Amino acid sequence: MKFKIDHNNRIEDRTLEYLPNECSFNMFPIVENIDFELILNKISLSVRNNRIIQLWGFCGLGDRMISNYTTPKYEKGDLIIEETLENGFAYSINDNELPVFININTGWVCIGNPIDNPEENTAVEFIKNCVAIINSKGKLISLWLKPERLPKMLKVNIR
Amino acid sequence: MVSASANSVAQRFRYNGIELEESLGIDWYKMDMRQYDPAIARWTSIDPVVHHEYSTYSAFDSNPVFWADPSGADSQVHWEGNLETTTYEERMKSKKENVGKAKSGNNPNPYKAYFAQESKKVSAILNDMALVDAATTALEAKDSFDAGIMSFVEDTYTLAESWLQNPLGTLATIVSGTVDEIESTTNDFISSGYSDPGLFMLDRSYTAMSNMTLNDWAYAAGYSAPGAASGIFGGYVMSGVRVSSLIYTSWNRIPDISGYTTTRTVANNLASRPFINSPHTIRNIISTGRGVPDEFFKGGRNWVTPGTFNGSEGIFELGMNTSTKVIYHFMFRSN
Repeated sequence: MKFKIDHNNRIEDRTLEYLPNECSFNMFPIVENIDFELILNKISLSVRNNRIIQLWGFCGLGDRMISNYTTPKYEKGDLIIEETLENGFAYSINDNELPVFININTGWVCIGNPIDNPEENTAVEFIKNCVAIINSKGKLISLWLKPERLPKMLKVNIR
Repeated sequence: MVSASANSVAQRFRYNGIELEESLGIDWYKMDMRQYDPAIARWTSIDPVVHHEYSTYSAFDSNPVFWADPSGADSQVHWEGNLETTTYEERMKSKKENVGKAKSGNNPNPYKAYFAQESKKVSAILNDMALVDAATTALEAKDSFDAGIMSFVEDTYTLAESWLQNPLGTLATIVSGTVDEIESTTNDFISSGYSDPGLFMLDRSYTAMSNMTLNDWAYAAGYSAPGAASGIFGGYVMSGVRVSSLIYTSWNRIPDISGYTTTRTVANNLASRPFINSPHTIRNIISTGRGVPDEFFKGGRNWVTPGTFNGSEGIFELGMNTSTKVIYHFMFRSN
C-alpha cells in the first residue's frame, strides 16, 4: 500500500487519548463521514478524499514494550493514500502484526520499525500528536502516537 | 408334585430348569457342559461346540427368550412344540420364515414377542423384514450399524457447521430438490420464530433424529439382518441418539451474547461498523471456535474468521469478553 506526504503545514486538530481499561486509542472530535479505513494492526486510520484524518482502535500496551526510541524530525502536513480503493470497506496496511514500543519518558508510542530512519524517509505530523514515517517507495514504516497520557500501570524504566 | 414355592430344593432350579449355584455368592447356573452367569448373560467358559459366527462365550445366541441351551453345548428352539437343535443356517432360515409369518400376522412366535419386549419401536422392523439377510452376522451388523450411526451424526454435524456459516446458502443446497421444497422450507423458517436459520435447521435435524424409529436407523446403517441382534440394535439406537444429542448440546453451547455492549472507543465509531448491530453475525463468528485469549483485555478472546460483508469477501476480526458481553474490537478486512 503506497502513501505520500504533503508538507503543507496543515494538520487535523483532534485530541488523542488512550483508554487503559479498553486498551484502545480514542480520538475526538469524531468524524463519522469517511470514505474507507486503513488498518494497522488493530488501529483504524479513517480516510476521506484520500487523506488520513483520524485514527482509533485497540492496541494493548504492556511493560515489555518499554523502550528508549524517539521520533524522527517531522513537519505538519497531510498523509495521503495513493491507492484507488472502494468506499465502505477497511483495508490492511500490513500483512503481519507490527511491534509496539513505548517511550514512557517522552510519552510516544511507536507502531512499526522505530530505527529504520534513513535520510530518504519522510515524516509527517498529519494529526495532532500523530506522526507517520514513509520510505522513498511510499511504504509506511512506522506510526508514532502520543496520547494525552500513558497508562499508569507502565513501570518507570530505570537504566 | 413338587412346588418351588414350598420346597427349598426346588427353589434352586430356575431358568431353563437348571440349578442356580448360590454358594459362595457365585450365582451361576450349573449346566451340563459349562456354567452360565446371568449377571453378564455370558458363559463362564468357551463353547464346547464351536460356532464361528458367535463369540464362544455368548449365550442363547443373545436371544434368551427365543433360544434355550439346557446343556451349555448348543442353542435349541422349541419349534412347533418340539425341542430341536439346529445349525446356524437352519436358525437363520427359521428366523426368516418366522419373519415372513410374523409379517403376515399368522405366527405369534417368541421371536416377535422378543422384539416387542425389547422395544416397541423394534416391532416396526417386522414390517420390513424382507431385508433379512441370513448370512449377516451379529458382528457385521454391529459394525454396519456403528458406521451408519456415526455417518449420520457426522453428516448432520457437518451440515450444522455449514448452516451456521452460511445458513441461507446451505438451506438451498440441502433442500436440493424442487423450487417448491426450497420455498417450503424457507417459509417454515420464517414462520418458526427462529431468528437464526442455522439454529432452525439444527433443531429441525435433531428433532428428526430423535423421532427416528429403529427401522429408520436400520436403513441409515444399511443394516439388513436385525433379527439376531435386536437387543444390541436397541442399544445402538440409544447410543446414536446420545451421540447426536452430545454434539447438538456442545454445538448449542455458544455463549449467550444477548444484550452485548461495546467499549466507548468502539461505540464512538459505529458508523463504519454496521455489522456490530448484527447479533447473528457475532454469534456466527463466535461459533467458529473458542477464540484466542487476548493478552491485554481482561477476559477477552479474539476470533478471526473469513466472511462476507456488503458483497465483499474478507476477514472478520472480533474481540469480545463473552462473560461481560463487551466487544472491544470488531472489524471486517476486505480482501
